[in-house]
Amino acid sequence: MSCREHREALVELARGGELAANDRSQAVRHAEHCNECAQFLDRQLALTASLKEYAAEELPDGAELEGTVLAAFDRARSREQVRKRTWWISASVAAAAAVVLAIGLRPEPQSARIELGNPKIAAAPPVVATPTQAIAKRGVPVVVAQAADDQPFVTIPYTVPLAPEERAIVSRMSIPVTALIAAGFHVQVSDPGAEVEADVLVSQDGRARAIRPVSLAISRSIETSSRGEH
Amino acid sequence: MGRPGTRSDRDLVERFRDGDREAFQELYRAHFPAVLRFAYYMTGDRIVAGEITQDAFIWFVDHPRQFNPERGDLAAFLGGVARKMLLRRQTRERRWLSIDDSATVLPRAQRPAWSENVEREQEADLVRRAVASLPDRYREAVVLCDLEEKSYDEAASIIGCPKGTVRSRLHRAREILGRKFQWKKEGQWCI
Repeated sequence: MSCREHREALVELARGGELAANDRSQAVRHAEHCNECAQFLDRQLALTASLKEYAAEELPDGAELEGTVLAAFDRARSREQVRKRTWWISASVAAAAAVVLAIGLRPEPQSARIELGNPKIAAAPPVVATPTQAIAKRGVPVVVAQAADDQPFVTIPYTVPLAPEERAIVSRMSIPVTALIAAGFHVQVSDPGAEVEADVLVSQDGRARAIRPVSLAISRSIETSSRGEH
Repeated sequence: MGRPGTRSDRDLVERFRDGDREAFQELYRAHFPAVLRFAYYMTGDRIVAGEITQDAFIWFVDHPRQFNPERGDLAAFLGGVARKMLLRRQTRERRWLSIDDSATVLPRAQRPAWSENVEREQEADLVRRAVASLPDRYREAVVLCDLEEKSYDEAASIIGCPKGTVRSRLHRAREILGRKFQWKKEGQWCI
C-alpha cells in the first residue's frame, strides 16, 4: 500500500470517522514507520482539534431575525388571503356573467349575432298583423309581432329543418316585408318597401332556416298601415 | 445542522402550510441554529450568515410546498436551501475572505506576546479564514462533515452528489487545511 492510500485512512483516523479495524491498524503501523505520514497524522489531529474549537463557537440565537422572518410569514399569509378573496370575486363575476349569458342577454345592434343551442321553432308560419278588423276580414289566425324573445321561430318553407343537435346562429336584422311574404308569411302592409326587424336563424351551412319578427315598432307600423287600408 | 424530530417536523410543516403561525415559529426555532451555523461556517461572516439564514427561511415561507418529506428531512432541505442562497450570493458578489498559500509566516519567536484569550481568538479567526478560503466544493464538505458532524450520507443528500464524492472532497480539503496548519507542528505563526 502506498502512502497516498494510507493517508485516506489517516484522515478518517484523525477525525474519528468510519474506519474498518483492519484499515486502522494498517494505517497506524504505517505511520509508525513513515516519518512523512506521521507528520501528516499529527497535522490532521491538530486540524481536528482546531475545527472542534471553531465548531464550539457561540452564535446568535436567532431572536433578532425571528421578527423579520415572522413578518415575512404574516405578509405571505395576507397575500394568500387576498389571492383567495380575489379568486372568489373573479369566480363570482364569471358565474354571474355566465348566468346573464344563459338567460339570453343580447346586445342591441342589428348586426349582433347570438348563438343558440336549441331554438324553439314553430311548425307553420303565422300571419303577421295586428288589427282585429283585418283578421276578421281575412278570417285567418293572427299572431301579433312582439319583441319578446320567447316567441318561437317559424320555419321558412322549403328548407330542411334543423337537426336536434345542429348548431345555429341567430342574426338580428331588418328584413323587407317582401322577403317575409316570399317566405310564405302573410304580412298585411300597404307599403311593400317596409322592413321588419327579425331574428333569422342561420344554420351551419349559412342558410336561413327560420325567422322570428321581433320589433314592436314594426308591428305597430304594420298595424298603422293595416288601419290605413280600412 | 441540528436533527429535530422528523415526525414532529412533518406535523409542524402541515400546520405551517395551513397558515399556522405558531407552527412556523416552532420550525424556525428548531432549525434556525443549524442553518445559521452552516451559513456562518461557509462564509466566515456572522452578518452575511444571518442574511443568508433569513433569506432561506423567507424563501421557505413563500414556497412551503417545495419541501417533500418523502425525499428527506426538513433539516437537509433547509440546508440545501441555504446552500443555494450561498451559491447565488457568491455568484452575485465575490465576498469570500481569502487566505492564500503564500500567507506571511512568522517564526514563533516573533509572535506577538498577547494574552492567551487573544491568542485563542486569533487562532479561531485563523481557522475561520482558512475554512472560508477553501474552494466551495471542499469548504462545504468540511462544514457539513467536520463542523456540522453530519454523516457522508447526510452531506451527500444536502449537496446532491454521491457519498464517495463527499468523502474524497473532504479528504482533499483536509489536506489543504493541514498544510495551512503546518505552523502548529513547525512552531510558526501564520497570519
